[in-house]
Amino acid sequence: MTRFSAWEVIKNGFTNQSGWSRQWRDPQPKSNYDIVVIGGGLHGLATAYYLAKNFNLKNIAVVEKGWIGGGNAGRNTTIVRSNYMLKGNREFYEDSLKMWENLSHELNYNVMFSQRSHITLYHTPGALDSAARRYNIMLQTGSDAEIWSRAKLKKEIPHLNYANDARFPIHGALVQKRAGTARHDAVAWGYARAADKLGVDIIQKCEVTAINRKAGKIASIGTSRGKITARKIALAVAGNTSRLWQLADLGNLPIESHKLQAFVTEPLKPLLDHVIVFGVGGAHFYISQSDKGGLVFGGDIDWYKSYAQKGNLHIVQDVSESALSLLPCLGRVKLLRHWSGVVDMSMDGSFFMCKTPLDNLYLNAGWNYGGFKASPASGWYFADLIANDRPNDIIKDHNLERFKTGHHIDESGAGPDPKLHG
Amino acid sequence: MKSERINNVLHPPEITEDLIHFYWNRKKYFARKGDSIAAGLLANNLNIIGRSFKYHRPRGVMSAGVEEAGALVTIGFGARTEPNIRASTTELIDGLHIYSQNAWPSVKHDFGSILNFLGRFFAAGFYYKMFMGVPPFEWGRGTRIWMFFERFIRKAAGLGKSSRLPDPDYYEHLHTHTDILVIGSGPSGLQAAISAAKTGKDVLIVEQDYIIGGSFLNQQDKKELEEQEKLLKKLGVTILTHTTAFGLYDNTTVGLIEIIPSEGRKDLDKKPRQRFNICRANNVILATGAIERVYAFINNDLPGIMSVNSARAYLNRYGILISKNIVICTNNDSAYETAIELKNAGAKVTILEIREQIGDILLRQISGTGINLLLGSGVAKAEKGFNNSTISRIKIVEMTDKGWRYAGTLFCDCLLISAGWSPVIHLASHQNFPINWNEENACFTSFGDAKSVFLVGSAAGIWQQKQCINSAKELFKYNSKQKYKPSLITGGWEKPIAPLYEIRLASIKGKAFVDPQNDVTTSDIRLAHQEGFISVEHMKRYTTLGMATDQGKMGNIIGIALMADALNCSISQVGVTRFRPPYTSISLGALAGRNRQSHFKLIRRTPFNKFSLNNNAVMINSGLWQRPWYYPVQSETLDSAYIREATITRKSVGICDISSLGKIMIQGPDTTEFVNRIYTNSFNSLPVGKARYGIMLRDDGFVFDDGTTWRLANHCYLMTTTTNNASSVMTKLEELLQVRWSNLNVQITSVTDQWGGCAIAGPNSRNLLSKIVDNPVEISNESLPFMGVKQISIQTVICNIARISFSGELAYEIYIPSDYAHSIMELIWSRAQEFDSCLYGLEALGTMRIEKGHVTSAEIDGRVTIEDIGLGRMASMNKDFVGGVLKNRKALTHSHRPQLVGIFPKHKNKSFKVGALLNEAGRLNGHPIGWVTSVTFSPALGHWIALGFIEGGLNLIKGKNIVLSDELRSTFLDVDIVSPHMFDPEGSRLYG
Amino acid sequence: MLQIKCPFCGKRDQTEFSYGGDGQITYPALNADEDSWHDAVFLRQNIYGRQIETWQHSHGCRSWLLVERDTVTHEIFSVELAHGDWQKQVEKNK
Repeated sequence: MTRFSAWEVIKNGFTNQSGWSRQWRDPQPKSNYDIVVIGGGLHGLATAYYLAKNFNLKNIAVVEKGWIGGGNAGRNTTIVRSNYMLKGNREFYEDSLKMWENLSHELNYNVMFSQRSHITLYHTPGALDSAARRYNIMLQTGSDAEIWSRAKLKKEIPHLNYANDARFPIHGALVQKRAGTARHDAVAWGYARAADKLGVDIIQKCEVTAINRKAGKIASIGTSRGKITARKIALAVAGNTSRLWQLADLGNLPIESHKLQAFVTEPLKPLLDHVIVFGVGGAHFYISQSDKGGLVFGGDIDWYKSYAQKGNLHIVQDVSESALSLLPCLGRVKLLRHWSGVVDMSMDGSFFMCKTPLDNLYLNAGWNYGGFKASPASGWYFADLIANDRPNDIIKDHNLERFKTGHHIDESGAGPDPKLHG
Repeated sequence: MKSERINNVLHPPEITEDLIHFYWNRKKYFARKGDSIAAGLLANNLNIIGRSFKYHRPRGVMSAGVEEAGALVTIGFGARTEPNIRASTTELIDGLHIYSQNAWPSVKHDFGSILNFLGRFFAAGFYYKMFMGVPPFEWGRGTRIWMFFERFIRKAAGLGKSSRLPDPDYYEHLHTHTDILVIGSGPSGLQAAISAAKTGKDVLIVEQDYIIGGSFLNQQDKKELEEQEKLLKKLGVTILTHTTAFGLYDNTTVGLIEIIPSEGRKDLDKKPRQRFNICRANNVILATGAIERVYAFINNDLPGIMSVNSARAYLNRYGILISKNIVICTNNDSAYETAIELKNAGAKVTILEIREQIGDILLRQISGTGINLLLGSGVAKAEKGFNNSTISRIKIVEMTDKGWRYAGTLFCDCLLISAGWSPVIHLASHQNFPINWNEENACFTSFGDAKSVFLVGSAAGIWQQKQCINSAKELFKYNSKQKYKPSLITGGWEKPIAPLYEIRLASIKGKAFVDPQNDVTTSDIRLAHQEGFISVEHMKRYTTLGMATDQGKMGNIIGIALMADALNCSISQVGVTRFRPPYTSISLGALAGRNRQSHFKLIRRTPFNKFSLNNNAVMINSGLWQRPWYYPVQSETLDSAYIREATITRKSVGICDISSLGKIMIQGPDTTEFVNRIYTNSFNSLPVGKARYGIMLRDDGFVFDDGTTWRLANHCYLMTTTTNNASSVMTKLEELLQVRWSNLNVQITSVTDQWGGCAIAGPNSRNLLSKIVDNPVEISNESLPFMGVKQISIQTVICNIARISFSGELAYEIYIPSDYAHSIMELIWSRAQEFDSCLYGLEALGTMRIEKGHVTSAEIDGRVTIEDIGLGRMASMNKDFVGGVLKNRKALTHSHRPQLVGIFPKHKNKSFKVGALLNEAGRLNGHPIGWVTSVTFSPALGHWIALGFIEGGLNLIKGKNIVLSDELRSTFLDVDIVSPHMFDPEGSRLYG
Repeated sequence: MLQIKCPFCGKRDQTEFSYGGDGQITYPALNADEDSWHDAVFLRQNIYGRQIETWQHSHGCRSWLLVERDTVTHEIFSVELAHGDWQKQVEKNK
């Protein structure tokens, strides 16, 4: 496989692009693998890659019912940050951010991680103070954080709404400078290409239709492309976790599937150089500009449980109101597309990465809004869990038993109502 | 290409006489009223209108419709700048300023076009393969190198430039209900609306164009349109022009955007610019028409190349003969009528017919017209002239047994293409209705859901106007089940189309475009296939095909066909990507409507709002509420004001607006049982006329909310909640009563807005109150003891008064009916002048409750247990309550949980802030052992104090040196951890 | 947009309502064991397809409703009051 570099790009410019080969193979599924990862999203692909790379495992397959990166991998608003404060989350997301910083080199694929600062606005002195705990914990645990005053914000982003008649005047912001955005598709393809290079079979259009149990283990899985047996099975199928869980006859999970919409405008010349988060008075809004020029933004989930990848109008209206309230210059900017993805909303807003009641089944689920930024660390620690058959300390609290014991990991304090963990 | 206006009988004089002017890149030109921007530009022979996204190739008008991928312009200036406007569909308004975009220094001589010559290096996905490290071998780590390149890439990308000034115009929302919504006012749409109206239904027809008629407008004979229009009006059908149905949502809700014409308007500021109309229809008829496709050949993006139908639109609708030397290349019957019309208008016309045979009727029609017909021929390459950028000649090919063969060069200055038609099925796709590849007609078709959404006319893949109109008529003939009957017939050409997506000869080199806006070429599609991006979704994302402002209305099918070819499978196997709303781009301003600026979210004001403002209050947002923050005297700062307010209150008396607390009236025979189940502590023994502080938990055992509940009568309680949780508590109580405990006979009503609440606190509070109430005896210590509740009249107005205290002073909470709140407050305040008194705001309220160690939502953050806040004794062991079971889980009862404490700085002159962390001295890294939740300067204690949580609480922390660290604001200081009850711990002041 | 036919107020937009949660959950008695509370509060069947769910007509009559809805197509099949006794009352008064 050709290594990606400017050199090769120039060389291929002269050879009519003839030097590029498939970025990943299209293998027929074998009947047996050591490890099968179900779900060809970012987490599944990353898991396969780190299994092969960190543990030198060879006989691995990723099975995907559609096309890799076709679920939430390609539907999110591409924000990467680590402003989490609770034990477990903090270390995990910080590790992930560190991995992001070198991901393009790691994968030899430009995932375009742009550390353009993640700016969370606050509208009263009290709100800024309350949020300070989170950012202080970040600083104290080796991350970066700073406060931007209104004056500093005005200088950096002069076209935000500083008007006196704004419903919620901007008071200041908490900023993580190392955070930013990345190119979501490239991450999926980069992991796929790198995993494939290490011998992982990436099998697309292969839907799992049955999970066959035998003596507390999974004996085999039935797929639309035949039966596959494996020593270990890993689930990474955000949005559809409950369905596969129930295919394995495992009952209920602390997860609800909800749909989250995302939006992009027509391409514009550079207008916004940061990621901005605006949340006040019940509004929730985040926006950045893609390298192509489209403003990419999103808001709340649609508030009711859904497996449909189609959004409804009230959220379109809500996010547009926030957009205009934050950036009054967007009135004439036009919405190009809006779409939605199905996310696993969990009972405390945090993810699950753990062993399951079945010996050889491993679970990676419940990413709420946070799956994209988690991808590298998710792959890393999930691979670690599968290979070693025990959770790393960092993820050990992210198990299914935590609601039995009361060890909730609730960053927002919203309690056991999945829709509130936005 | 040289276009000209034609003035003949087809163009009524009232249009030709109506001259308007516009500015193209600041230069003045003239056009006719009714022109689109594209028509105005073409009529002035302005052929190079924009530059493409990637290679900065010149772009001209490619269509006369929403599929336009070339003629994108910016209109307006200053704060009214609007980028990425489709010239082909936007009405040209007198005096309009139009600018080219994505070009520097000018659209004719664009510096960026240098990229065109480097194009060989910019194949699909090249940016995934480089820019990550130091070139050429991508050395290095981190993101710095990418971010260096990114700056230049961002500048080169993007199309139009948007204004950074606030949009000065406003927009509004409208809600519409109708039986039947017809989308599109072409022949089928008009007929559908007429037929539907005849069945007695309420019908709304919407048209994205600025006049109705659809394809009727492109025809020479307008008689039928006029008749249909008359009929429509007679039947009372509502017609909305300038209105795009941009999305189909659940329950046949359709999003409409109506552009309100600004023509001749002097009152721009007073009228909305656009209207977002949310239409709920019982049935939706998609009469959305079809879009004519082009195909891929070398340089198929040159200005001067457009679809056949658009030339017809410019000829018959706008009176512009696009060129006098035209070549038409087609693979279907639809182009011939246009060819004849163009010929009749005075152009030289050559038809290159892909098919080797055409039907007899067509043949008869063109025979004798002077049109030159070449069968089995096509275009393989277009070339520009030496001194201009528009098309000047083409390389033609002819079909042989072995495929296409070069057949010579033809000079022309306009090339029209018709490679088939794509029905506009976007709205059906929004709802995921089935979409199928129609092999015979080489297009994707949909039948909607056949329950409430139907397609008629060419949107359903029907090509002949008569049959289109018929399909609309037929639909409204009910079938036996009283359901509408959609047509299942498609097509209708004399001879079938010869599917054509690309003409490629090995000997002819150059770029052939699939998506001319995003500069996606056929080789990009092939490269995507070569690199394994074989799913249509991958291809789209890797090449960016169909992701430009036209969302692939013209190009998508070519891309899909090329991928099918590469994969050696059928188009239906490759499938189509799902269309997403909006159908055409819509402005965010319209979607937001009036809900912006001060109207972004509603404002809740208390009944004392006016009073507070009259008394110089500085207000603060608290959720949606605006509450008095502090009442500065003269130029007092926040700090000096709240310190003064708290001091006077503790010394004498202060008055505070507490109206935003949630107030819930609970009534009914089972009320006591209900309240008992809600709160952790028992309310069984609470006598009438007494209040009790209560804590409620969530189902999961964590603290939900707190407040006092007053027993007003045997079966009547008034519950107060925190401001933050007022609505969630109400919702929860209703859920419990209606869903879980429907056997309890209890009614609850939110009365938050019915009562204005004020606290009167301080040693003089009773003295002040006795000057206000009608009968002072009622508030004596005996008559109204601590936690006592009474209905007392003030100026004959019955108010609820409770002797409860958040400040720790002798204090009362008075709830006054909202209508009387202002005047009674004025009375209280005027009587208060006899004392050393003050109004105090949220900040001083906070000061006094922090001194007392009372918790608010700063402490009750959804993660604390009742023990954590030191109120474990309030969890009754003798009864069951919500959350009572799960609160006993292991992690919730752990002795090392962070617990509520008071915090004093060791050096009493030091201040600090909320959000600071608590660490053991010498261990300032990693997770802290505690944090600060509330901070104030305590006038009572004379130094800064705080509430916070620390692992294990006061007992476990004893003897340890604790450092408060606030790295964010560079504050580090030694602190003492103390009891949260920092002032008057025995509560002696409560009794006055 | 979803439209829900409130038994009291008629067909209204979804924006007048708030989604509650899974309507199939039976909450245990307040003194039931920890496991049954755990299952009711934290575990979800998360049905793909037709499910009974609770909504509140929060900007209307404030009734809690049991709605049968398809979580894939969003089609609504039935709406009734969660409070069974109230429904009897309503019918009696008809």
